[in-house]
Amino acid sequence: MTGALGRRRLGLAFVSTPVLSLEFVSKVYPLPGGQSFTALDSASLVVAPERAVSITGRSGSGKSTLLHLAAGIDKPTAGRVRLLGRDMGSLGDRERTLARRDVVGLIFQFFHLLPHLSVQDNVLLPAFIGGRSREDDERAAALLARVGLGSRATQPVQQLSGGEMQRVAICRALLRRPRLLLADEPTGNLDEANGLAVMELLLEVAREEGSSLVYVTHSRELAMLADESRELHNGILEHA
Amino acid sequence: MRGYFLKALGAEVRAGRGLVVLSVLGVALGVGSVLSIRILDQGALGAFEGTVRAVSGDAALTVVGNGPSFPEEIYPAVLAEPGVAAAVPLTRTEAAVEGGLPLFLEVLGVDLLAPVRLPWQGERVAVAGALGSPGWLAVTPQLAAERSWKVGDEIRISAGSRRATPRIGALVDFRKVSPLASRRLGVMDIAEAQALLGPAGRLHQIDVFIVPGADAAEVAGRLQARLGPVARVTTPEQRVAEASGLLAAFRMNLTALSLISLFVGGFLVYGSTQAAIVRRREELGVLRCLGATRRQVLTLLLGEALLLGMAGTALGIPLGWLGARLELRSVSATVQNLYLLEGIDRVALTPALLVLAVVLGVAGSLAGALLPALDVSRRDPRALLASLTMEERASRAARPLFAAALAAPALAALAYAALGPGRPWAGFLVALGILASLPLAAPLLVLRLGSAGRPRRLSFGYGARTLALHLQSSAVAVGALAVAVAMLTGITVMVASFRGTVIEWLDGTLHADLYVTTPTWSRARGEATLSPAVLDRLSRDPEVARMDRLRQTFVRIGGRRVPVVGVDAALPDGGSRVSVIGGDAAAAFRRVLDGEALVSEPLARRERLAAGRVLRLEGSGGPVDVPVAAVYREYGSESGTVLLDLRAFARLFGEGPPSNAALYLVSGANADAAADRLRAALPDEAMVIRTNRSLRSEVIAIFEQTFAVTRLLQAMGLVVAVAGVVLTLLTAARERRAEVALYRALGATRGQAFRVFAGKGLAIAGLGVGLGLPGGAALAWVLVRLVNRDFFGWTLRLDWPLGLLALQALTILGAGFLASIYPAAHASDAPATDLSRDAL
Repeated sequence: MTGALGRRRLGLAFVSTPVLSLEFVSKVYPLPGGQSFTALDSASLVVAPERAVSITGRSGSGKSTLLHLAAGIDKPTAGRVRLLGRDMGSLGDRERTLARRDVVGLIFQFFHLLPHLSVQDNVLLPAFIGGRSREDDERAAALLARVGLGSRATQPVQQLSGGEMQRVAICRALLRRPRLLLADEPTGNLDEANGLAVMELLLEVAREEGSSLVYVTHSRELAMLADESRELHNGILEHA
Repeated sequence: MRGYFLKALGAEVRAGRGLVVLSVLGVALGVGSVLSIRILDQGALGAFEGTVRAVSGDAALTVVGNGPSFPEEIYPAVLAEPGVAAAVPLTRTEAAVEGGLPLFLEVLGVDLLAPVRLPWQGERVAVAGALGSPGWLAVTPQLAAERSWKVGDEIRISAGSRRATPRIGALVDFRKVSPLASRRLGVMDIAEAQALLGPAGRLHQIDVFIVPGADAAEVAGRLQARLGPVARVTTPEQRVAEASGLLAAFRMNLTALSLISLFVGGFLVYGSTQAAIVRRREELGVLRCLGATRRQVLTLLLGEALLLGMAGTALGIPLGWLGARLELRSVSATVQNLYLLEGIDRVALTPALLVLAVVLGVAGSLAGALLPALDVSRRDPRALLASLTMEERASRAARPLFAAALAAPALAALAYAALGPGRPWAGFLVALGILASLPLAAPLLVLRLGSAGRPRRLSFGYGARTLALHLQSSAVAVGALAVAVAMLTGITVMVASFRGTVIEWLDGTLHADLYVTTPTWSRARGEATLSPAVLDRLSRDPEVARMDRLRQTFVRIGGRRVPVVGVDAALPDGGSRVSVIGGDAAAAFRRVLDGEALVSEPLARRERLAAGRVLRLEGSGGPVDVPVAAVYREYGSESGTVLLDLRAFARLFGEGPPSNAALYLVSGANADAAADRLRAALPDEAMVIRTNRSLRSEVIAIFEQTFAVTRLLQAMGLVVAVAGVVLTLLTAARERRAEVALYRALGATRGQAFRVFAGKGLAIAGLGVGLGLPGGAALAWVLVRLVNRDFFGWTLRLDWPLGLLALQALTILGAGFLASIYPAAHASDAPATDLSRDAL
């Protein structure tokens, strides 16, 4: 099922709807001894179509929690997470999973490429999950060519450098034309030059593909590349 | 490190409870099954040895007949031999007890007033009254309690077709002399035993006590020279060794079974140890990072295996004892039915068996844990800390292992050819080569599956294709399952072939309408004779068109006891009673009528006999050379059979009544009605009349009982399939948790993650069955064509029970799928949030 089909199946009207909106979202983790830890405290955020939003913050400030909630991997303790207008909190695990599959592309700091798959098959992983078609193969090839890895499609992924691996991960995230790209410190595992190059590439292809982008970074310089910047302090989301 | 060992062990028991239980159960299964079979094996020989000791006591030598019995005129000759202090003549008659469950009493005919006091004659007072009471019979207190007999009760027994009603005069506890002595021994005065139960004027045994200081071997040699070929002088040890030899094939079957159980147990230990190690990999990585040496890690893991082995042994010993108790009846019946030896009444757990159990449990546990422990101790700390490991080493070894898989059966076949076909054990070598090749071929097969096309969806196919990612555990599971399937297939085909051969043999040779014998025939064979009154009545029956008579005795050929059968070769169409190999049965029977012999296949192979050769038989008058007319098929005796015409039989072994009669009825007669009429006409004779159909069914029933072992193999196949799938998938679920979390993060549903793991389970079962079936077919060919021919001397046709094999394969596949449900559900539970930063 393609992303467009998935959107139709979800029945999401998104022409003028924000791709992602967080309305007073909190996430509290219970701790042993009756105590609790508030990872996210009444955070609100609206991501419009084709916009890029950066989020900065120290380690443990709740950045990953925010991305997990945005992707529907986790549910908020309070507040609403809307993906293309649909309240993710009201959905069951399977529906949230399908929404994530069809609407969201995820990019991780440590790439999370499967070492037993080739470069091309790593890109095609979302298609394996959703059902692969000839169109997917063509799209994977086009994306790899776009990020400069067209000639390395059949190589084992372990033969790539860190920057190349993250480019493969970007292709994987874009395969199903997601409306929202969520990137968790996409340059955190790369050197400065490579990090900048990858970040620029990510912003560029997101724009080309018409995807909104939310990325978490420690770098103020990279954060400034986004259309909008936010900062997380002890679970509270503020304008940068 | 010692303090950590105890803490780690406690934590391991708490956290990995399932694996600990599986490991302990694996050891318990191996120890229990080997122990139970050793207990029964020892019980079978112990019963024989115990009875020898109880009956013969300290007698240094025993004189036994070369046939079932010998004339009592030998007795004075024994006494006359210098060096013989005393000699005790004995008759040993198998008597069927009437009423209640079938029971055979072994009645010892003893000279109760002999000067030599036999070991059991402690109860002198009770025995002393025997001579004044006709029909006096002493039985064991165990049997009396079992049958609710009291001193003074009369019981009805029969020997052959003769009936007798002795009175219980005393209880004699042979077990005070020898704890394993049979409970079914009875004692009568020898003269009365001969008169009531026969055979008159003949003895079965003379126990010889030699003078102090005399050399037993020297006395035995002189005595043997004096007695000539009519009797044999043996020692108690020789008699036990002969019984052991008689049971050799049966014991081999039992040993093979226990080895299969040991294999399954070892596999469970291997699998659970590997799963436990995968679960604790990070812990071991941290230990190595903090300075623990490889040796310390290895010691830690083997130490745990040792303790688990001890726990498994502690559980396996009572299990083995219980298993032996449960199987006692069926093993005892087989020993009695097939080998005419003493049944097993009691089993004992001796210190030697306990030591064996401990050694086996501990060594088995250490051996099962050794490979995974060595493997993990050799890895560098970085590899241990990484969540996803590439099984490069296993992948690299796949091709050389496959080459070894091809070489193993080829080398075994070459060794077979070099050793020369016909050697009893050579066929097993080829079977072993085939079985060894299966686990060796498994890694490459798993790898090949991994490269067989690209799946379109994250589903069953993806799971099967990625089985190679945990090659080490999956190849072991596939290999073990393939071995189990091959053994199951091989034995299933062999049993079906054997059954088909026996049915064909029965169809070709059982032509009479009624078969008449006596209740004790199954134990006493040729000595359980039909009385003249029975034979007269049968031959006079208006519906009996013709009657064949059968006599039987035993001779010793090549150190083994071989049945010799006499039939009426002059009977019209007599040749149809045998299936002659490579010749004309009618022509062969004409030569039998002229005094030649037919020999059955096992005997012909062992003694290299063929038509035209000469067979030397020890008759009652000395050795006689008998020409061999032909070789014939016969599946009733492992030691082979000699078939003679009744007239030649009488010339060799003397005149005597037959033990069996086969009746051919007039056309149109009803066999069941005729059997009923004959039974009613001979109410005072102990007699068993079977119709052709019922005899055939009984033979098949005994056959099925003998091969009931296949059920155990089926169970073993299922255990290996289930355990292999569960352990491999649990290991994979642990190893691949991060990968599943990634799938989930990328939008895979829980159902998809489930199907990936279920696909792995199906792939393991499918590869195991796919590899095991051809292996089993090859094994079946070896068992049928080589092992049965070389070891037992039987030629079997090769039958392929395709329906049954398909059902077994489907059952194992189904078990594999069912077994994958829990680990697959467990694996699919991994949430996307488990995708930690260093996960992949």
